[in-house]
Order: sequence, then C-alpha cells, then structure tokens
Amino acid sequence: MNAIQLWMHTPAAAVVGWTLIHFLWQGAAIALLLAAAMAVLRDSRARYGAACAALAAMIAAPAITLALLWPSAAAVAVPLTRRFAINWFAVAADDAPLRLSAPWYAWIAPCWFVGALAVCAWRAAGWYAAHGLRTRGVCAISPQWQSRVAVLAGELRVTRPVRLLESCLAEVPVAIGWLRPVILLPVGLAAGLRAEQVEALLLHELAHIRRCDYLVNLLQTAIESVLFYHPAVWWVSNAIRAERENCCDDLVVRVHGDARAYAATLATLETARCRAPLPAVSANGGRLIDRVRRLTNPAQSGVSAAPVVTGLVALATIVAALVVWPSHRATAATPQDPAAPQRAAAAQPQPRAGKVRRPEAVPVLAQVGESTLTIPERYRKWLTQDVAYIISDVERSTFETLRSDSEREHFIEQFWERRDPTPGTPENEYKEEHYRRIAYTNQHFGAPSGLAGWKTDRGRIYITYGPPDQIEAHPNNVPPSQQWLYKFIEGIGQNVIIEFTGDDYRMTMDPSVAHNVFFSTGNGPRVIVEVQPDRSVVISVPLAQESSPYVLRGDVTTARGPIVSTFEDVAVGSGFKKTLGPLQPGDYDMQFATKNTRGERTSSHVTFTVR
Amino acid sequence: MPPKPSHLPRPTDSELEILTVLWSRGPSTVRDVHETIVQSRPAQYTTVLKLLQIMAEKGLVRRDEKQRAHVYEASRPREETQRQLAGDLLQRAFGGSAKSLMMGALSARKASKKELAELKKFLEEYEGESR
Repeated sequence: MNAIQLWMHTPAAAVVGWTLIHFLWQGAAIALLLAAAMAVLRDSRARYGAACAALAAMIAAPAITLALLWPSAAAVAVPLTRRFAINWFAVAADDAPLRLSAPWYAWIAPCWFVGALAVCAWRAAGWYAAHGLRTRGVCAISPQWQSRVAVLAGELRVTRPVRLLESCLAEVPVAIGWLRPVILLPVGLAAGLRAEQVEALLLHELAHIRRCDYLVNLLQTAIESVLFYHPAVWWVSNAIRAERENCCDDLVVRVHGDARAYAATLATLETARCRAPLPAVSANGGRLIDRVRRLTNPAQSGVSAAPVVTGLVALATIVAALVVWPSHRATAATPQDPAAPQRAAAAQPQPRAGKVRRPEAVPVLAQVGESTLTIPERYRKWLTQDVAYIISDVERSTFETLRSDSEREHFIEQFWERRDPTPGTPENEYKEEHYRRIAYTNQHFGAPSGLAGWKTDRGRIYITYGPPDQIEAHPNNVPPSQQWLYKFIEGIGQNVIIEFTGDDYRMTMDPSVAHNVFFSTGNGPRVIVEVQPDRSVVISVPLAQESSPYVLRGDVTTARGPIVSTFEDVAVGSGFKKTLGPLQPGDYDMQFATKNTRGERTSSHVTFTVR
Repeated sequence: MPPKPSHLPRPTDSELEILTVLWSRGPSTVRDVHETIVQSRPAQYTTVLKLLQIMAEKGLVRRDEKQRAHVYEASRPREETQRQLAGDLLQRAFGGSAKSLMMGALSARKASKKELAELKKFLEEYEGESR
C-alpha cells in the first residue's frame, strides 16, 4: 500500500493521471466528429472506415498527450526518484507511515490501472472461452457442405483454409479465428434450412474472414479495455461492430444477388430462433431489424457525399485543434488529431454495393438442373472432358450458372488455384499432374472400339486416383484382365484392389460406389438421397425441430418416365427417413412434395443415379 | 434404471462431442458416430463404443437394441444441455466477453418483441410479393 502511495507522488503518476483526464474531452471530441461523419456517410465501408479511424484516433490521442507531457515530468524526475528512495528506506527503518497529502488527481492513475487490469482479465477469459468453442462440442459437417464452403471461399477470394464445423454450444452461426478460421454452425441448422439460406449465412461468415474482422475485433477489444472508462470509446466500438455487419451484408448481396431474399433469410432465422427459449446475452453488433431495413430500402443509400464529408471532417478537426490548443497549453499540451488523414482516406468515394449487384436473384443451387447447352463449346469441353472426374457436384452446378466468359475464366482459375498444393508459386503441380494423367490414359488405354483412353474405366480410375502402386496384368487370359492395387485412397480405404476385365477392360466394381449422396433442389426442405452399396436407396428429410407435422409425398420415376415407387407419409418433429428396396442401375428422378397443417406446400426435386 | 433427465450429469468434453454428432445426425450406430468423429480427429472405434456405453449408463443417451447394430440417440434435446452448460458460473461471467469476439450473421442478442413483429411483417410482405 505504501508503495502505491509513494508511486502516486511521482511525476509519472501525475502525467498518466492528466493524460487520462485529457482523454475525457479528446474522446468526446472524436466521438462528435464521428457522429457528424456518420450523419452524412451512407456507404457501409466508408462508415466502417470512419469508425475505425475514430477508434485509432482515440488510442493515439492519449499516447500523444503522454509524449507531450512527459518532458516536463522528466525534468523533475531525478530528484524525486532519489527522494522516493530515501523515503522508502525511512518507512522501512522507523515504521512510521509517511503522511503525504496526495492531490486528488494522483488517485486517477492507480484506479485506472486496477480497472484496466480487471477489464483485460475479463476480456482474456472471454477470448479463452471463445476459442474453446472451436474444439468443444463440435463435429464435422457433411463433406458436401465442407466443399461448398471451399467454393464460396473461392468466390469471395478467401485465401486461408476455412473449416466448417457443427457446434452444439454456438447459438448462432459464428466465425472465430484469424489465421486458422473456423465457422461454427449450430447443430442441425444446415439440415433444417434450405440450401440457399445456409449459403447466405456461410457467405456472411466468409465475408468476416476475408475482411480479417477477427483481428480488427481483437485490436478494437484491446483499445476498449485500456480506455474502458470513457463511454465514447464503447459507443465508437459498437458503431464499428454494427458497420462491420453491414459491410458483410453488402458483400453477401454482391455475390449472392438478391438483397430482399437475403434479408428474408435473416428475418426467418431470427424469428425461428426467438421461439427457442434460451437465455439472452449482452448486446453486440447492430440490431438485425436495422440491417433488414437497410438491405430492403435502397433509397437510404443515396448519393455518396464522401468528398464533402472529407473536407468537412478535416476542417472541423483543424478548427477544434486551434480552439482547444491555446486554452490547454497551460496545463498540458494538446495532441493534434491524428485521425484526420486516416479519416480522409477512409472517406474516399468507393464503389457502392448497389451498383455492382447482379440484376436478378440467382440462388446458386436452384439452377442445378439447367442444361449445359448455353455454355460455349470451349468451356463445355473443359467441364465435360478436362475436369469431368475431379469437379465436385457443387462446383459443376456453380459453373453451369455462370453467365459470362470472364466469370467462367475466373472460375477455372480459382478451380485450379484451390487445388494447388503450393499456392503462391507460378507452378500448379496439381494441374500439371492432372493433364499428364489425361495424356497418359489417351496414349495407353484407348479401347479397340475407338473409345478415347480418358473415357475408359481404366482411364477414369487413373485420372481420379493416379497411377496404381502395383499392376497385375494377365493379357493372355480369356478374357484378359488387370488388377490394380492402391495402397491407400482417401475416402475409400487401404489396399484397394480394382479389377478390369474383357477386351475393353471394364471395371468390375467401382470403389467409390459406396458413397453416393444426392441433394434436392426446389423450395421445399432439403431432401437427401443416399444410394447404398446394395443399390437400396435411403431418402431422408431432416426437419427443423420446431416444425409442425408435414405430409410428405414422393414419386420416384426412371429418367424415361415410368413410376418406380410412390410413397406418402407424415413426419413430425425432427425428420423423416425411408428406404426403397434395391433399384436397377440407372438414372432416376424424384419429385418430392410437402404440405403442413397450415396448408403450405413445397416441392422439390432430386435426380440420382444407381450404378 | 436411468436417472431422471433433469438430474443428468454434465457431459464431459468428449461426451459432448458425441452428443453433438447424435444431435447432428439423429439416431446413429457406433460406426456412424465413429465415422463422423474421425473426420475431424483420429479416434479409436473402441473408444467411441466405450464412451457410448458409459453415456448410456449415465442416461445421457438411449440405446435401441431392436436392430442388430445398436442405435444410440441423445436422451435430451440440445437446447436443454445448452441451457445446463450456459448456467455455469464461468459461462455467465464471461459469456458476454466471449460473444463480442465472435462474429456472425445474427447478433448474440435476440430481437425484442417489437423488432420481431416488424421482422414478421416484412417477411409477410416479402412472401406476398414473391408469390
């Protein structure tokens, strides 16, 4: 206690105390400037930039004040330090407490220090808890969604690998982490929503990751903790959080298209969530209703006033500095507002989200069935020949929805980039190896019937899995045969043996047939069709927990039209599952319709193949 | 006889992971659970089996023995367990701090009744247009 009392008398404590006091008006002034800027700025990125600049100014202001006040303190520091040492010994020697009358402001620094320490500890515990969520109560999500995230990440040009997990502790979808970001979806959310709704959510989280929001948020939290005593800091910090969400919303709309559909998705989720009785927690980020209003009311984002605002803010800063400077020079030098250049930079005119919006809503997955005929020959060849075996279903359907050649070129570039084992180098080893494999199959596996090598079974396996570890050939047998051994194939297993027989070396069993999953398109709940190794077909429909009873009806037909099977059932609660007996190999179609107790109907459609 | 749901013990971290898989997939066999878990980390089949047996004894999961492969199911809905865990002192003290570090499309705070009403009104309008 004596040590603190003595420290309170050092000039350093006084300087810190005065710095903190000066920040009261500095913080208020910066917040006022920000409020003025926010009144004029409309573009979310400009608003976000302005708020960030204001917070940066808030941490710079006390730093500069401290630097300016320090010399006067240093001048008297030496004798005081010596006195401090003598007093300290004196206290220790005769045990008589020193009665030093501390001025009131001497108390500020120690009080602030204790408070900042407490807030920092609270924040650190929060950080620890948030990071715990990345590993606690999580499980892997279906590979379909994992690969969909990779595609969406490519669209947003997110370079870091993003993991998508289901979490039983997260109440809403969240993104956590900077270098190794993770997106957590509440358990069952992906299954209970329509694909384009999940996509919209994922895009929003990916937007956070692409913008490095987590890192900015950490810095922002640190500033909040140090300057915790000023309400203006919290106000600016909350403004940043709100604008951050708006920026991400704009990014989603730019990629996804329809702003109103996206707003409806958010509103639906929020209304569904509010039915679940969970304890409410502290407010952060913008109010959803404000975001929905902003998304659906383009009139609000009027003409950009950025240049005017830049001038106004700069002028106001200079005036404020001139007015304030002389009056405070007596007690302490005033820092110039360091925010002006930054704020000016942030307020530069920027392309507005509304202008680059796609003209119509194109929910990506809704167009899966569209024919590939509209794609120019060159790109159709790329899709159906070059990458036919390695492109995923979601990538394929995304590619089919692209409208312009430049989009397609970009997609192809991204497609290879995602697979590049050494991103950043000019060589793409994956792409080179892939084209080498195609060339190899055409040289070696051409069939007597004239079928190109890459189209044969051996060609397909070679291109998909690479050269086998071992080949056992019996060319003189009747019919001739080959057995290929792979020591390991990812997703299938160890020591996989694949047999080819006959003059054209047909494969006897496809190793990947064990995992055949198909998804529905349409406005109804997501229908999942799994083809089992024994050719039986499992149809499942995960429904949201709170959903009311549904009447389900499905018609399975072959691609040519005859009905194979029809079923009708009632699903209550968490889902529906049905198995159809083994089907003949071939292509099938399923029309799937639901009706709930309120008479609302949905319909969806799945195409699947039994091999 | 398994204990009453309201007095179920708190699941440990590894039990919570298995519960998450069960909530995500619905009733599953040990094999299903194991397959999902190994997607994110290496785990032994026997470990998963043992854990599920312990959890069945504790009453955290129900076992359906009608089929040849036993099918396990979480005995409580996710929300209830989440409430139980959120009730922790630590969670309550630091929840707010943690939430401001996570970013999401929906804020951690729920909409008020008035906001909800407006959201619903917007949705009705929207559905009216698109029909």
